[in-house]
Amino acid sequence: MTVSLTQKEAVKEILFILSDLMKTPQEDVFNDLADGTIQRTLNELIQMSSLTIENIEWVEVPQSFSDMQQLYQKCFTGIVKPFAAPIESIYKPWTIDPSNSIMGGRKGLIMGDPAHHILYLLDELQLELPPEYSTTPDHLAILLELAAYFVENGSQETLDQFITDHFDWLDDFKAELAKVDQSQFFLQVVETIASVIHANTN
Amino acid sequence: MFQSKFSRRTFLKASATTAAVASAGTVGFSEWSEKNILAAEKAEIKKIPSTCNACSSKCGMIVTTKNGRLWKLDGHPDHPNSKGKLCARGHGYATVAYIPERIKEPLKRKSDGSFEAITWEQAYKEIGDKLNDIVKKYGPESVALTEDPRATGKFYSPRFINALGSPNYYTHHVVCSNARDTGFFHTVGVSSTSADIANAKFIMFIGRSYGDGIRPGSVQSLAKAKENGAHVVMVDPRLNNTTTFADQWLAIRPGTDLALVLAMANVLYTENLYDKAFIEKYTVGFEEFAKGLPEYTPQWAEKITGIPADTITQIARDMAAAKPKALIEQSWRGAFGCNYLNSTETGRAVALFNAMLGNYQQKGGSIFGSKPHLGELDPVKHPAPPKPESKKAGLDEYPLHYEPHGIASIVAKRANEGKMKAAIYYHSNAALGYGNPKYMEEALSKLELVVSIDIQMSETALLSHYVLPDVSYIERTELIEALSGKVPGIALRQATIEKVHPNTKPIDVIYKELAEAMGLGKYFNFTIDEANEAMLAPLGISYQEAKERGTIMLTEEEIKLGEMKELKTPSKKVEFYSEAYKAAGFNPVVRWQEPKVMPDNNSFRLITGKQANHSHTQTANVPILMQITKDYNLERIWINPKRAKALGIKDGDLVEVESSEAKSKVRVKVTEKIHPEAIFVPSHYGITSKYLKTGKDVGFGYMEHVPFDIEPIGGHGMIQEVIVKVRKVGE
Repeated sequence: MTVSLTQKEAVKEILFILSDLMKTPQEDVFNDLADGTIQRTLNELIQMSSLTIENIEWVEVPQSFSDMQQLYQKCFTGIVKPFAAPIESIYKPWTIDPSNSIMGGRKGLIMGDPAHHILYLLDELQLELPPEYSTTPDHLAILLELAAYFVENGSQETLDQFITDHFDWLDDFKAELAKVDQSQFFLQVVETIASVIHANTN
Repeated sequence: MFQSKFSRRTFLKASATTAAVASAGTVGFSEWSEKNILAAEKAEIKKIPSTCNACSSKCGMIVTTKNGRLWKLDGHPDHPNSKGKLCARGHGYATVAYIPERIKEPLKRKSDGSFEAITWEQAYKEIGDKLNDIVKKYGPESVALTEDPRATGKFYSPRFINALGSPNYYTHHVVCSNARDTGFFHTVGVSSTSADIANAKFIMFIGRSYGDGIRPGSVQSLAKAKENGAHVVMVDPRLNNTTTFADQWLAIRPGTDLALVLAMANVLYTENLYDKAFIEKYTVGFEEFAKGLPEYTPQWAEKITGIPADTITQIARDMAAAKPKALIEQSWRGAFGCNYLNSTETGRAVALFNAMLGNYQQKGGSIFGSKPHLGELDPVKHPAPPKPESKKAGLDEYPLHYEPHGIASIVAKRANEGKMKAAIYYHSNAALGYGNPKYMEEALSKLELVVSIDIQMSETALLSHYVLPDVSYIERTELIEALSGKVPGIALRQATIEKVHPNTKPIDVIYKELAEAMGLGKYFNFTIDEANEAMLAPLGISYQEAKERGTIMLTEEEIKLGEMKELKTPSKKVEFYSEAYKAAGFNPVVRWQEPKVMPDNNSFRLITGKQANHSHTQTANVPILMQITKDYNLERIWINPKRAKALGIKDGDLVEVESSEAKSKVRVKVTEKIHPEAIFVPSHYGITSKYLKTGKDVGFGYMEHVPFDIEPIGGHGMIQEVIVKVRKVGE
């Protein structure tokens, strides 16, 4: 990497790259992962960011684009069970409103209060959500991009608030992901995400 | 601009002015939720009338949404099935829209058995090509479509399969009410009557439980009848939840209901208590029927049913005294919908006994309901496919069965014989529920094409080559549903929330687009809204009004009680003697028939039925409903204390249930509420699909023990012709 970035810019780029890895795999992302570009870039960005995170040395990186697609499908999409949905609402009460007589505080459902808060934030910030995420705006990939947005445009207080509000479910998510066979690669990615988020709040 | 130097595809797109907004406008979750979630005055609240889908009753309901989300459900006050109330299933099942196990995109099964997501275009192309190939190679009669019908499916599904040139349209009734439907159809010309329960003075239920297979409106009617002093008799080997209302519980030996009804008919006949005027005016063949009655004495029935002769006699006399406000409720699946070899004849006998009471079209009696006269699409602009030339599979071997429902298990039978090549299943888990699952799996595995259209990965979906993702019922608008009854009406299910998963589609769109891909689009050149407009036109009700009111009862078309119209039987009367039966080689009058199998002292008959929190296996993967099962151990089988003691079994012990077909392990509930000859297995459990993690491995499926078979008259599955042995295998 030849560019020089401020600490803030570096953190933003880390979040973007990690977000890419949580999206439906694309071949160029896989290629960068397979030849180590992503890991190398992340490590350089971590250095620039001054975040206290260990160097990234992911193992069990998928061997082919097809492997990565299958692994992503297996870990996150629910086409195969068990799976771990990278969606915040799943791990939190569907709503805090006691007047909801159907779902109330039940967990395990999508489009809960957290999702609607994200929709609200996106609307306020005039950020457009891609249609495929319209019913999962609290998908981890979107949350990471939004965090990157706050790094660039918000105050530290705003960023802290956002992280406190929307990243407190990662431990539960990791626990579910650990139940999925051969999920080691993505488990490491999520560990890295948790480390970055944790370092940011510190 | 908000963009990355390294990311390949940043999803969120920002405008240039965003930065200023960012610092001014964002709030934390707590502050936001205080203002937008908890503060009701700012919320956008809508109340949308629709219909429930937690079971086949399709009760009217009012859906409240708050900020576009499902918030609250109430029974529709005008709908006859709900009368302002919804049952627990109705409330719980609505959450299915938001469960993460939903199928979100079209899936194709790979050679290793796993599934991959594909586009709708690929799905339509490959399914369409394959269907066209199969029709060309084997003929259209080699293709079948099966569903548990709802308003849209009832219209679109037969139209789609007919467009392929096939007559093979089937419904779930093979394991629901095929026997009752056939028995009633050949006796009174309709597959079912309704009952004026609220005004009845004497009500007998045979296996039917308003407190388990709940229609809130029916429960209210029964409560009203009790307030008015009605006498209620529950005939059921299991003390079901409706028995709370009953004055008498007759724990009949399972499989012998026909003997009870014949013996009661004997009392009415021999004691001259039947309605002679009704019999003379509105029936044919009574003399032939009556010739057989003398042998069916209460003493004879006592030996078969286990019910004391005096009790049988007294009940028959009391019903005669209360006639015409006395009836045997017509039931659905209950004890003679699809249960035994003699169920079709039991259905026939029930319809005839009601005729002996002269209760048809009488206040407090059995009712032939009226239906609204809905309009149709313009046949010139929207041509229907021609009537298929071939006969529906099953009609030749089972000529008496109720043809509109067909015999859905014939698809599996034909598949195993190599005669059926493709099957489409919509809103139907046939592989688990319509026949022995091993048989069904073998059959479906032989088909060249299986397509499932569903919201979750059912056992049938797992055996399918393609799985197409349906929207849930709270996300779709359906065709107008005709409500039949004393007062006819219409009900409209409509979308109450936006689609949760963007790539799911409602069935009308799936059929239309698949037909277009197959070159059959001309039969689906209309929208569901256009079809609804056409259906409503003759009623003078605008589509807008239907949307606003949801359920509209046509009170001006209420039937007049006391007036018997011509029936749709060949004689236009109640048929105690059936020429159709005779022509098909069956006894033209109802006579006692043994069940197919009987347990001995070392075995039990397996019986099944509903619990109030589930609709068979349809609701088994809904966490909020399954939790009730787990909290109260509802998956346990019931066994009588005397038999349990003899087997050394205590309440809560782990037992093995063994039949000719399978072995299952489950814990037991030892209870006096079950006949000693039977074990009761709730019908909701035994999910085996690994995709349905909430329902999987809870209890066992009774169908695993049911030998695959088809009853010769009504063509039903005989789901309680099962002998099992039970032994303790653990504390």
